[in-house]
Amino acid sequence: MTEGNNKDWSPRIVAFLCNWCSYAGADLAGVSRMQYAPNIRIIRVPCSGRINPLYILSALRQGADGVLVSGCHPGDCHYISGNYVARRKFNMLKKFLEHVGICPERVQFSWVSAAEGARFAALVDKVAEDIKRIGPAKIPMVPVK
Amino acid sequence: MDHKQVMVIGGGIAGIQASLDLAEMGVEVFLIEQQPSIGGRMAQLDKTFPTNDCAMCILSPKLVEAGANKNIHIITNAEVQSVEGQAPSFYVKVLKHARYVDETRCTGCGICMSKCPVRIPDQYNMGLSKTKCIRIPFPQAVPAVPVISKEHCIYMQKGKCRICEKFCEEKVIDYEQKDELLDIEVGSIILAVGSQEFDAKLKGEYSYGTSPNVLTSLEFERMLSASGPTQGHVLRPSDQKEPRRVAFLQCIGSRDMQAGGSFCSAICCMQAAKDAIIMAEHLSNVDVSIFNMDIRAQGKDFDKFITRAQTDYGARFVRARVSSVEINPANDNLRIRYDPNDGGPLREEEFDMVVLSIGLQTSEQVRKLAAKLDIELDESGFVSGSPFDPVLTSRDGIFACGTMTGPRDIPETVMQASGAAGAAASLQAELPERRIKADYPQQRDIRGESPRVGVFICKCGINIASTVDVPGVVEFALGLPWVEHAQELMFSCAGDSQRIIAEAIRDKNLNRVVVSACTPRTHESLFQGTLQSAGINPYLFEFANIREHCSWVHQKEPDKATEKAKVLTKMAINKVICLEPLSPKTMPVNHDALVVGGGVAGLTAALELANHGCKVHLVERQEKFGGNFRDVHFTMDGQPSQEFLNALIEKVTSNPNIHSYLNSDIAEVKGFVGNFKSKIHGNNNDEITEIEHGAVIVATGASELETDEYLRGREPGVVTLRELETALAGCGTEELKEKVNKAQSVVLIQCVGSRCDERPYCSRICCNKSIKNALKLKEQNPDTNIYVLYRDIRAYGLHELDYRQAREKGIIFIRYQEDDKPVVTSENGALKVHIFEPTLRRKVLIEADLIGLAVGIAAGSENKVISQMLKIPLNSEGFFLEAHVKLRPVDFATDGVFVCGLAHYPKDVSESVAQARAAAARAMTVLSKDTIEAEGKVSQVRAECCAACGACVAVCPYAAIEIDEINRVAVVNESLCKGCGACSATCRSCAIDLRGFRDEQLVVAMEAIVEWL
Amino acid sequence: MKDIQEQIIKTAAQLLTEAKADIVIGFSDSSLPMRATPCFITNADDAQQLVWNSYCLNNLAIYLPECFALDPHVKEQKPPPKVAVIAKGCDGRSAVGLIKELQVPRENLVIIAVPCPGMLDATIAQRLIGTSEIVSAEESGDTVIIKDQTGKETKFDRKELLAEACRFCTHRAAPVSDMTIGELPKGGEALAPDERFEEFSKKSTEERWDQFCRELSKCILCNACRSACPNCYCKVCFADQTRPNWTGTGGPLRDVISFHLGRMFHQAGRCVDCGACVRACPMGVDLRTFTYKLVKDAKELFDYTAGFDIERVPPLIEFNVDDSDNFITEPE
Repeated sequence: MTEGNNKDWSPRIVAFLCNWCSYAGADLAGVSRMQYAPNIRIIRVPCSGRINPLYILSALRQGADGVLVSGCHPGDCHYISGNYVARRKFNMLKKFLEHVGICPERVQFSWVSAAEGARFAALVDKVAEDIKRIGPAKIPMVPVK
Repeated sequence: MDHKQVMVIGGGIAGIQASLDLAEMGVEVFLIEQQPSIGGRMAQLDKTFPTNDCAMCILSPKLVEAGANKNIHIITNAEVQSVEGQAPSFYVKVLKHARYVDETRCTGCGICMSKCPVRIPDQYNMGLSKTKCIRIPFPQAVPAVPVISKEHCIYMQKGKCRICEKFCEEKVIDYEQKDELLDIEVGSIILAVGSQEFDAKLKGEYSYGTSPNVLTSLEFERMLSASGPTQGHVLRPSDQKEPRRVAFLQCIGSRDMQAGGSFCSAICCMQAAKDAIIMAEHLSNVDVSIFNMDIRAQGKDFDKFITRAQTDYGARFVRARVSSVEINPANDNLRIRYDPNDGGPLREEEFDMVVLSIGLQTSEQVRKLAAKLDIELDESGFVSGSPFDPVLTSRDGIFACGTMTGPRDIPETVMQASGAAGAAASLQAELPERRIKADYPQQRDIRGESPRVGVFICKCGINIASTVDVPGVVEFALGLPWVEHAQELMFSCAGDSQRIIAEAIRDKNLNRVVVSACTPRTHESLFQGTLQSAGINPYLFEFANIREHCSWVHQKEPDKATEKAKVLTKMAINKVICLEPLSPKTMPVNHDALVVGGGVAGLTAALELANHGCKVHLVERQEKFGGNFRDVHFTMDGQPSQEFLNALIEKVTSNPNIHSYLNSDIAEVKGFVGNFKSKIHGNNNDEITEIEHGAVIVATGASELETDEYLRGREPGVVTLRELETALAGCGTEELKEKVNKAQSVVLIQCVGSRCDERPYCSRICCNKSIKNALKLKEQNPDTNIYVLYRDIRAYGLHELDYRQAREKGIIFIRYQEDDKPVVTSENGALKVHIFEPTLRRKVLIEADLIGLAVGIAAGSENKVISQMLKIPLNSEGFFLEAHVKLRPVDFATDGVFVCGLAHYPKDVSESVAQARAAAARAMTVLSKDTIEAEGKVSQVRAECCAACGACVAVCPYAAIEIDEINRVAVVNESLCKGCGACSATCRSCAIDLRGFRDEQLVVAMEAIVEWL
Repeated sequence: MKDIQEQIIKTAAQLLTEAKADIVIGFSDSSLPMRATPCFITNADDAQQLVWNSYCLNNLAIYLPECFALDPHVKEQKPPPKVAVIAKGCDGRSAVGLIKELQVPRENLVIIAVPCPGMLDATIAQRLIGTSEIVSAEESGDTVIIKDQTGKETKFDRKELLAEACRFCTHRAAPVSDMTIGELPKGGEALAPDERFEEFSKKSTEERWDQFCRELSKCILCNACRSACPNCYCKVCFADQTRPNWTGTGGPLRDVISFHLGRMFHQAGRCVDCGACVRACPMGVDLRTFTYKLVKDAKELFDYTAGFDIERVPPLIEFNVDDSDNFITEPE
């Protein structure tokens, strides 16, 4: 089990960022030397619309403490409507995961544009703080009886 | 010249778009920019109206694309010295100013910038923040090479410092660098140097420069920008507090005889509305007032945007020109005085902050350039070509686009830019194109090989190495499965590093490469080229971003940064192992084009395509060509319009490349970009002609609205503007001609059927059409009393000059409100107009001999059929919806289909011509090629898993997927797929996957993250 | 119901005789008490086998995709058959979903809408009776008299024996049909309140997670839920794929959870709340407490109820620019 309060525990956060806005926003945070929590690991995808809900479930199954998904602001999608379709999926998924008892902080969605380096940095800090507060993932590793 | 070459002067969005289109057509481009980076004004904007798209998000991919395109030579920090010769052979001398940094070798690491001790005002932020004396102008700059400002450099001024040189690992600082004179021969030239903003200091009464709380709209734009001096926080400069009340003052240096220009700047109303919306989104508690003379929302979806600003964001539009702004010394607030135009006394209001919406005007650069190139400017200093064809200049072979031809917004600028590109390329139609194919060795077949991964960790000078333990990461990588080789590099992007990587690939027989360095967004293609040069498929490459996403953002936590760099590298290694070689599909291109619609837009597009050497099928539903323009008889300055139209039709009908189909409709369109098959139905003979073509231009026009408002149809004295113009030109019925000639009192009523609930848009051309006809009436009979009843006079841009002239000639303009429209009554044929006169504050009665209705424009009813046939969308008003309202104004998401003219939105003839040229140019980017290459990273169906449920078809924005009904399986058209992956994310049985970003590749990357402890 | 049954038999025979259908899918008698078995009638003479009673519980739509599947062994496919289905509300809703998802060609499907009184669940009856096996059941009006092995007769109100999905069902008539038999219920009010879902929703996050894990730890990954669901027509379920392996080995509970979360979320905007998965589960996992959230959210977020309108695009494959952003994290 990954449960328990290991003193050295530091959250492992998987982030999916779309290439055209949010990844560029993360680049800008870097160019601007904005310091943020080192817990995040970014996976670049072409579009937030590429993110299969199964990725998020897979990350949780593998024991990620948090998942962050970010795409272009609605209307800004490089692929015209990718983030609009994604928004519906994400909205339902988030509410569904909350319903089965996964903390809302565990899986978060946001929009970050290519010009929003500061927003990206603040977002990572917020997500990292949230997850530190709620503690490690409680995905049960015990075998089925 | 042995192939097509064009010089583009000016590297703003106009110049960039023109260059990209030209390069795509196989033309070699020299892009000359005065500043050290391309990007222009658009790079400074926060959002763009009316969609509030992030400006940088849409611009920066274009910057990167222009920078990477082998056909485009970007020459920055440079200006044109002289132009000799004539079309199609110009000899241009370009003076490239020293930037004191060797552009060819600089890696853009930025260490010089961090070490430089001299801070200077940052022009990118309009001086609202500081940058360094040696600097990259802005983070997304292209080229990403710093420049030294000589006048501020301590070493160059005082002989001591040389700090940047000391820290530069690549030794590319060169204080001795000299200006360079380049000789370039080109076939044609495109001017795109833009305009400049009005200097607000010239309007002393607005306290700009004396109060820090008075900002120009451009300064405010930077303040709103997340990458600006306040990171998007709107703060009053005097006390850094959030303002509660903000006033926008419109027409600062516009519509002004004393200072700036007497024309309208065309963009400021929308910019102010946009800023009001964005500010209201940032600050929950802000009141915005926009002081204006007219709200000029003449573009597509602009009126709805203004309504949103008012109703959803509470912006207050005050119809007044502010006479003064005074500082309240007690609190640094600003007192505004204005005449409310309602007959009442002057009013005063206090605001926390004031934004001056400064106008656009021509620049000294434009004047100088025009003199050097010997091209004519108009009285306002804008390039004046033909009234029908705005991309032409007075000199053959030289074309102009963007705001140097008059104030205009981004989409119009982009249309003109594409249009100019097409014109410049067709001028050299007989010359061959330049298709650069890098000479790479044959790719090694790696099938059956187990992965042999090479890992290169970049130190980026000290950018990465000062935070991340690079040798530690190398050692870590060497311990991972399948890694055959790992090493560090000082600068992985430097030329010698490329050689090192290529040698390692050959020596160690590597079949996959990982580079841990900076961002793939700018550097991926470089390393892909390296792989190709070493005989490896370029898709067997993966990037880890350990600079922007690691060393730079965790500078104070080197241990954690090192650990993260290891994980990021391992993620890339995991992913690269799963990658497969990809070879983008190529498809042959049919070089013919189909143009639907034979109005001015369709005719122009057809002619332009024919000039490029393409065969064109031009289909017109009516008996004759000309469309709506057949009812336009004279221009604003009285030139006969039909001569232009007849000449155009003559050129089209006599052109051997153009096949005309009059009285015909499109019956069917099948296929996709490069390979369409269509059927044309002749309505007279019921004959079907089958054609094949590579592109489609939709120019189906629009029509004048039918109306029965204001007794139209019941009183012969109530006519449409079109009928009035016909009579004024001496055509039409004798009865009407007589009525017009004898009329002593004429009333023109604006916005008939426009800007109402059924059609919540402005028909754009009616105000100017009324002004034109009023002036003509006045000219024919100076004693006639003419009244124009309007809601806002939208004499945008240079049309304002005609509006001014109309008022000077005694034409009376009376404003009415939407909820208090004029009322027309008739007593035995005697027409009376009742209207509330706002300055008199009472109802007045006008007896009219003739009433002209400015009837709006409605989208064509056949648009729906065309939209379904071509799989292209319509907006809610029935006009075609382009791929992107700002940067792709003539394209559709569906490749190979383009739009122009009134089918897109109401517009005047010169705008239609510009857009038609643009559509033709964009079509040429397809038709000029023999084959089109699909994206490498496209979707792929695993038929054995596919249940043919159609979800992928529904979410694909590009209509690239179809269901094969017979085999019950989804099929991807690789020529249309853009690789967004929406299909794959939607498929429940994972039957469709995105190459290069496969599910498996992303899952194994994820495994590296969660296993890292 | 006898009357309805007669009409069903007559209609089926007629459809087959007139070649308006090649197959009629309905129910026949079962050898077990309180059960009816799905059956496929291809011959008018066999139409007599069709029954209509309170035990016609199964969702018959599950058989539709199979009727139209391609035969992988032949090159020249036979033309698709004409299939008629006896449809309660749930069968009808599932059929609409399958039509929308191109699994069933509308023109080849004859939907025969029949009035559903709410079906009775033998499992529930058995639970109430206890260990003694049920041997027969008699209905009269709203009363059901059940006789067990010991010869004891127990009286029940019909409502007590209603299948779970039927208790909450608010639309017991097929929304789209080609023929109707009898008078269809208008729908509207559910027969019983949905307390379990409401109670669960009110619990704290932690309590919900504990209950979720408790429920799913009963799962033996037999896939009966998936086999019973008309929406689970995928050729290869994501959970059975190996590249990537989405759900692990199935050993630890987290793997079980990831299978169910994945499968349930695949029902988002598609689930018609027919209850087939719950009835199929041999371990009694209460899936509906979780899946119903998706039904509810599709309605609340997108005003969409699955299975009603053939024309309307399912909510997760379309969008509206004004869709809610309320789940988005704002960093400041």
